[in-house]
This record gives sequence, C-alpha cells and structure tokens, in this order.
Amino acid sequence: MSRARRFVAGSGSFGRLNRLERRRALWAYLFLSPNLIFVFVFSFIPMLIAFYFALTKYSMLQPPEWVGLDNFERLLRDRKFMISVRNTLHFLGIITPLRLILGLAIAILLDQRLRFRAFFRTVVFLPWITSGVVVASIWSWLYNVDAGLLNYILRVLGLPTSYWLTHQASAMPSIIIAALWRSVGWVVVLYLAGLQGIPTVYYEAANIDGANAWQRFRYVTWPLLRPTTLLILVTTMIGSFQMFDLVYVMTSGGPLNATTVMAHQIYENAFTFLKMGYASAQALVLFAVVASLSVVSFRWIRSDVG
Amino acid sequence: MRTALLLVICSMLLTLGAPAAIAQDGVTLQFWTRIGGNETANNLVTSLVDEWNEANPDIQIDYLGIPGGEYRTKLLTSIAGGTAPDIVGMDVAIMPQYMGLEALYAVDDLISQEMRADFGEGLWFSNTANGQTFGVPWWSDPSAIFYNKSLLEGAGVEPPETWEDLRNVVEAVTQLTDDPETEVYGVVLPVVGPWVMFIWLPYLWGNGADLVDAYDCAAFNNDAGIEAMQLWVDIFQAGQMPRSAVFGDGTAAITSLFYSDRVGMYTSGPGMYRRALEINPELDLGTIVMPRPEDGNHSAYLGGDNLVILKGSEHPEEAWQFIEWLVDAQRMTELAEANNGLYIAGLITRESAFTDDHFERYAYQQAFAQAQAVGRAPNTVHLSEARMPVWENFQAALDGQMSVEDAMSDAELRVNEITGCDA
Amino acid sequence: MAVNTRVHRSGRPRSELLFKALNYAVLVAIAIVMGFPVFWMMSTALKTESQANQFPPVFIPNPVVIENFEEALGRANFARYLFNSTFVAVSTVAFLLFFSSLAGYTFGRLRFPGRNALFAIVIATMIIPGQVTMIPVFVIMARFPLMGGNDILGQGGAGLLNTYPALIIPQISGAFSIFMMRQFMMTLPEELSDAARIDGASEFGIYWRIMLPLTTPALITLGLFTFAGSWNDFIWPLVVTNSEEMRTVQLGLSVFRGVNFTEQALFMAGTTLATLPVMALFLVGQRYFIRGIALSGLKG
Repeated sequence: MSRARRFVAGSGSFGRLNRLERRRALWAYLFLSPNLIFVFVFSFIPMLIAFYFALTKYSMLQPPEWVGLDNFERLLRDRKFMISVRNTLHFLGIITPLRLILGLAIAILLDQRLRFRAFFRTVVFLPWITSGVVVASIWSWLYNVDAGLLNYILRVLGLPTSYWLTHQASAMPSIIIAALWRSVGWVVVLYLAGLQGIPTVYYEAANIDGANAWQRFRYVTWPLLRPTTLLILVTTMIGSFQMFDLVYVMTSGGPLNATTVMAHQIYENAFTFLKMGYASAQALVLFAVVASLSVVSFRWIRSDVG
Repeated sequence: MRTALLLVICSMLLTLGAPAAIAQDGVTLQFWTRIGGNETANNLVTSLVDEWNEANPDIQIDYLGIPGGEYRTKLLTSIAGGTAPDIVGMDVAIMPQYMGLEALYAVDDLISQEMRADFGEGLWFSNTANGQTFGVPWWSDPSAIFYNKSLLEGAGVEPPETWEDLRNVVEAVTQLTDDPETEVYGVVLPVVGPWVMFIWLPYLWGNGADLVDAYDCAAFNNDAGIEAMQLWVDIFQAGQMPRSAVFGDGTAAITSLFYSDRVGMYTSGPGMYRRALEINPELDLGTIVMPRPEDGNHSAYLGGDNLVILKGSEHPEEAWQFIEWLVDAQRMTELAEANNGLYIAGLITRESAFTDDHFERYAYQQAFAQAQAVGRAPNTVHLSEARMPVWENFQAALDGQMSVEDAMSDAELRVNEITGCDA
Repeated sequence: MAVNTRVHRSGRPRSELLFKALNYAVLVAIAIVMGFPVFWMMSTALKTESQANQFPPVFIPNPVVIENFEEALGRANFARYLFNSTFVAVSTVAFLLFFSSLAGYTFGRLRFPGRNALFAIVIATMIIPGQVTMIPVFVIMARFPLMGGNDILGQGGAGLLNTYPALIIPQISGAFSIFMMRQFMMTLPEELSDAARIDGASEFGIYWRIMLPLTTPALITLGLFTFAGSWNDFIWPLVVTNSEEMRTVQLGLSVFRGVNFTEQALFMAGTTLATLPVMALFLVGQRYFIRGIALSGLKG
C-alpha cells in the first residue's frame, strides 16, 4: 500500500518542495510537455478508446453497441484464446533469455577492435531492417518440407530431415528461431550503444586489481549495463506479446493452433471476424499481463543492484 | 550535429499543417479495389478510370488499387473513420459480412432485367442476402484443376472425371518415381491456412452437403460430408500430396514444385495459367473442372470481385452509372481480348461477353467457364469464423489425430455455437 | 600501462593468436547465418523469373539480370516516393530525437512530483497492441479540428489524412524512445550535472551542452531504429494516404506484393531497393559506437 502510494507520488508532493526544487520541477514539466501532449493525444486517448471498445459489440461497419462485460465472459470460455495465451508464454519464455544472452555475447564480440568490424555489425543488424513480409516469405521457403532449402541440405548431407512448420511439435520452435534471427541484431545494437557508455577507467582499475575476463564482465560490464538490460527486457517482452507478422504469414496460427499467439487472435477477431469489441477485450487481458510482468522486471533489475 | 537537428526541426515545422485542399466541381467518387498488388490488372483499371473521367467531367472517379493482403484493414479503418469510398470492388469472400452488417447499398431498383439475365446463378448468388441485391459480379476467379499433361501421360492416365478417377490418377502419378530426390506428387489440394474451405467446399457441395444450411446450422456432418473429407485424408495419408500443402504455408515453394514437373495436378484460378508458362515455357498444361463424386455433380468455388456501393455514399445514383459502364458487355470483351483472354484479374462474368471463338483462342479457359457455370461462393455472415473449426479438425484428421467422423461431429458442435443454431 | 600489455603479449603469443582466430571463426559463422536470407533476397533479385522458382535452388544467379531493378526504378513517380519516404523518415527522426532525449533527460535525471506516475503512463501506452488502437488513432487523424477542411468539431473534411503530419505524428510520440533515452541518461555520472549547476548552467543548458553530447551512441542508435521503422512502415501509410503524391517507397513498391509472391524475382528486387538506403545509413551510423566519450567528460 505505502509502496503503491510512493510509486504514484514520485518524489513527494509539489507543495513540500523548496523554491529551488520547485523551479526545477517547473522546468521538468516544461521539458516533458511537448512529448506528453503527443503521447496523450495519439497514444493515451486511443488506448482509453480501445478500453471502451472492450465493453461494446463493434463490427466497425456499424457504430459500437454497449454490452457491458459480455466480451470478458465469453473470453473465459474461449478455448482458442487460452491456447494462444499458453503459446505466447511459451514463445516468450524461450526467446527472451536466448535473445538477451546471444545479443550480449555478440555485442561484446563486436565491441572489440576488429578487421571488417563495420561489415560484421551491419550484417547482424540486416535482418531487422528487412521488411517483415520478406523475412517471413524467405523463412517459409527455407522451412518448406518438400521444396525448402533446409531439408534439401539435410538430405544432401544424409541427415534426418525435419517437419519444421508443418508439425505441432516443431512449428513453435521454428517460429522462435526465425523470430530470434530477426530480432537479435536489435538487441546487439542496443547493447553496443550501452557498452560505449561504460567509462574505460573502470576496466583499467579492474585490470590493476588483477581481475580476469569473467570478473571484469561480472563486476564491471554487467552491473553497468543494468539500465540497458532493463530496457531490452521490458521492450522485447512487449514486442514478444505483440509478435504477429511471422505467424500470420508463415503458419496462420497452425498446425492445429500450435503457433497461434495472442496478437494473432486479436488481429483475427478484429479484422477477419469483425469483432473489434471482443478483440479489444483480449487486448485488455494482454495489457494486464504485460503490465504486471513489466512491474516485476523493473523490481527485479532494481533488487539486482550490488 | 545539434545545430543541424534544430534546423531540421524548424524547417519541418514550417511544412507541417499545410495539407493540400482539393477543388471540387461536380461529383468526385472514390473507387477502391484489392488488385493493387497485381500490376497488369491495376494498370488496366487505371486506364479504364481515365477513359471514364475524360468522358464524364461531372462524375469524376478517384481510383485506388490496394494490395490484396492489406485491403480489408484499410477498408474497415476508413469505414470506421467515416472516410469510406463510394464504390468498392469487393472480394466475394467478405460480401456476406458486409451484406449481413448492412454496410452496402441495395441496388435492386437500379438493375435492369436484361443485365440480371446475363449473369449465371452461381455468380449472382454471392450478391444477395435477405431477398435483396447488393452488387454486380465484376470479374470472377473460379477454382479448377491444372494438370501436367506429360506427367499424366507418363503415368498412362487420363485427367480425372470422378473422385474414383482422382484416386487412381494421383496414385499412378505418385508411383512414377521412388527417388526421394525427385519425388513426384499426385496432386496439391491446398489445405494451407483457413482458406482450405474455398478449395474443399466444392467437394462438399458436389456431394450434396454444405458448410451451413439456410438456418445457419452446420450441414456437413453427414455421409456426404464425411466422404468428401475422407477423400482428401486418404490421398494425403498415402503420401500422394506434399505435406507443406497441408500444414504451414508453403504456397510459393509448392507452386515451384508444380512448375518443375513434380506435381501432377494443382488447384487454382485462371490467372495462374500465364504465370506458369512465363516461369516454365515447356510446361504442358491442361485444365479440368474439379472431379465430381460418382453419383454427384461438378462444383467450384467462385472467387472474384463484385462491384458494390457502400451505404455511406452520398451519390449512389452516380456511382451506379459508373458501375453500369464498367460491366458493359462490349467493354468486357474488348478488355479480355487485349489481355490474353483474362478480364481484370480473372474471368469474364457476363455470358454475352464471351465471343463465339473465345474458347478456341483461350482453350484453357473452357474448364474455368464450366466451373463458373456450376460453382458458387459460400454465403453466410458467419463464414469467416465458422470455417475455423472445420479447418482445425480437418488438419487433425489429415494428421491421423482424429477420425474423420469425430472431426466432423466436433466441428459441427463448434460451428453451431458460432452461428447460434439451436437445432 | 603500455609496458604491462607488451609483457602480457610476449608472454603467450600463441594462445592469443588462437583466441583471435576463434573470434573471427565465430564472427564469420554468425555473419553467414544472419546474412544468408538477405543474400538470398539479393541473389533472387538478380535472377530470371524461372530461375527464381527452380528446384533444387540456384544460389548464384546465372545469367545475372538487372532488368528487375530497372523495372522497379522505372516505376512512375519513383522519385516522388523516394522524396516522401526520406522527408517523413528524416522529420520523424529529428522530432523524435529532440523530444525524447529531452523527456528521457527529464525522467532520468530530474526529480519532480508525479515523475513515476507519468513515466508509468508512458510505458503503458506502449503495451496495448496496435491492432486495437489503429482505428482510434485513425479517427483522431480524420477528425482533427480545423485541419483539412474540418470545422472546430472535426466535421466536414478529411482532417490530417493524406498529409505528411498523418505519417509523422503517430511515430514521434513513441514511448519506447523516451524509455530508451531515460535509461541511457541514467547511466551518466551524476557529478557532471552537479558540477555544471554549480557553474550556473541552466537546466536546458545542462541537457543541451552536457548530456546530449554524452549520449551520442544512444542517439545514433535511436535515430537508426526510428529511420528504419519509419522507412519500412507499410500498413499505416497505406491506411492514412490515398493519393499518388503521398505514397512512400514501400507503398510504391507494393505492386510487387502480388498474391503468393509468385513474381519472386521482381518482388525481391523491389525489396532490395527499399532496404538499401537503410543499410547504407547503418553502415555509416555504426561508426559512432565509439567508447570513451563519457570518459573525456568525466575528466573535465
């Protein structure tokens, strides 16, 4: 309770500040105002409207009709949505640590003095700047069991082939590999930028103390990258919950719902079944889940100090 | 760097807030289609619109071709935002929703008897709901089967007429080789994505069943429906159909197998013919209408576009004038002649627009015209959602996780829950 | 320090060499895995349509055809699309970098009542999926008062639809960028701003003269992300623009997004063209990931 109040209040109430602090607070509001106006009009209000949609029946072809909590009642009985929640958590649980570890490892590799450094850095970032439709269509082709490249190579090498996207057991791992491939460069770049902010004096001091490479990482790099790690953790988590285009193009959520994720269900309900109200209710559930996970992440990173 | 940033921001601020105003004389109508991703068809419509605008200074048409994948989203957003177009080339697959949710303008009073009589029953069916008419068939995209003549001849079989023939043909073609490197498949009946319905429904219809009946109750859990599903399950489980045609989305890779002489038969629309020959000019293609059950009928799914007027339009009369001009039989004939027999992105829809020698010159279209005569499109407002359980259970049956009977009865329950049928 | 290193090196030259070789081996492996699909895109772009559909696949195009590129570039108004995309992306980047670094500085470095609550709201707007906010944002654009023929109540015209602001504004209110800049501002040593404050610098002066130069790598990163995001955006520009003059490169090349991508080679050529500018920008931008900027500041 007291913690919640502190969270809302920030750093005390305005009235209790002295003159200097009050002046500084006014500056702060001034600095924030252009941004907050945009956030308010083009993000916050639309969010509230979406919450309102969740309480209506809305086909988009006709104005919304108030139905109260009907959509949420239906959600409890929606087997497919439950499957999509499970799939999303499955996706998130596997891709998040992999992406963080791989991203950091590659970033540290690319932070050294290297020949062709610009080339390596750019190649790692390439998947992220290539359009999603192209990425999905190329991966569909790579994975294709009958005419795809991966099975072709496996066959040439005399190795057993895989069903990839066409089997319930291998479909989600295949999606995860493609999603990881696509997004790891983004994490690498953020960590690269984060690594630049660590003053070299810390490493020099660690060297003088005789720290080995692991100790330098454990006691200098990792703690000083904490803000970057939090940023990556929270934003990739949000991104994972909103992951949609790969599934949409590569599997349409199949086989047998093995790859349908929450964002896919939301899209399908909104723009295929014309149930925007119901889709908004699903989005609200997603919102609640992600918001609580974000709070946990913020706490976790903070308690990790020292 | 910081100064540059400031300069850019200042100059941008100056250019913002100066939206272009459009001067208007007479009426300007917005016309949208979903063929923005099909260059040939889109250019064709663009020049048609130019021709109309030249001749009709009072009714100007503002044309926009949207790529197929994003067309629904853009249309829905604009309707919700109150900036909808007047005339739309509407995918027949979404017609039921738009008619059911009363988003279209009824055009019964505007259609002449002569025009109505010029369209086949199957085509017209997708325009009607509750005894009213909401559009005119523009171009059609009937599904039929392309077969690889040399593969079928090599296997010593004729293209199939009935389901039994189909079983024999795919078996013979699949047995052409044992080498996994150059494996040949009998047939591709794409079960890819929920769109499976549009290829499988004709088998259901031909055997006398349907997705839902007139009361929106599931009408496939019967002998006719079970047979139709069993046919595909048998073919797939015998290894005569590539796996990626069934699970996952391997459309592009699978078509490349077909183009490389490794698939006997492929289901698609008329637009595929020229594309296939561009990619492999040696391909020897024949076309047939989908096979019928021994004691049933041929059928087909009629995709394509209807021309509709959205209810919000302030100028339905003027919009209708343009639609009437667009579907003029003479104009249809000329456009098809100029485009190797293809009209817009598919087939001519008016019977009187086919010239006497049309099928001599475009022999492959014979099967599609036949499909157009016997086929139709599903017409229930619940189509988009009701096809989902059928698709999922279909996959389970193909994969051997469910018997066809169980798949059907479970799908029936779930479809009835969606449509709200109490039977 | 230099002596120290030399002793180290001469001590175990072989293992160091081995380590270096291993390093490069890993990097090359990563580059192959990460680069292959992009290599495939470009190689397909240079193939004939029949070669693009061949099985088993052909890796190196033979013959090499550049007609696909000529066709894509020869599109009517390509120059206009290029201008629109560049204009939108550059203005988005400029606004966003300024606004969000200012907000990030404020959230990360200043103390004021309501800070956490405001920050929580900003983060919250990032969580709701775009599919359900797209229609509200569109309606706000279309009904924007006093714009595009609208009256004060937002009726009568098309609002901001079909204008540059419609393409730019939704992207510059990004919560992610505020969050990112806040995190990077937080890593900067507090002593810097304290010292400047004692010297009598204004709050804006501290942000502009001290904090901003120190976050160059973060600004470059954010700028690259934003540029790429704006440049590659497809669905939003499609939804808010109707006229030919307002099309971006992605929309202009969408004629290649045919059903099932059967025109593989042409599709890949179009996409390659659309990707090249962002690629080039990244190649230049990554140079600014240089260590030591923060250090020089600390010494001052």
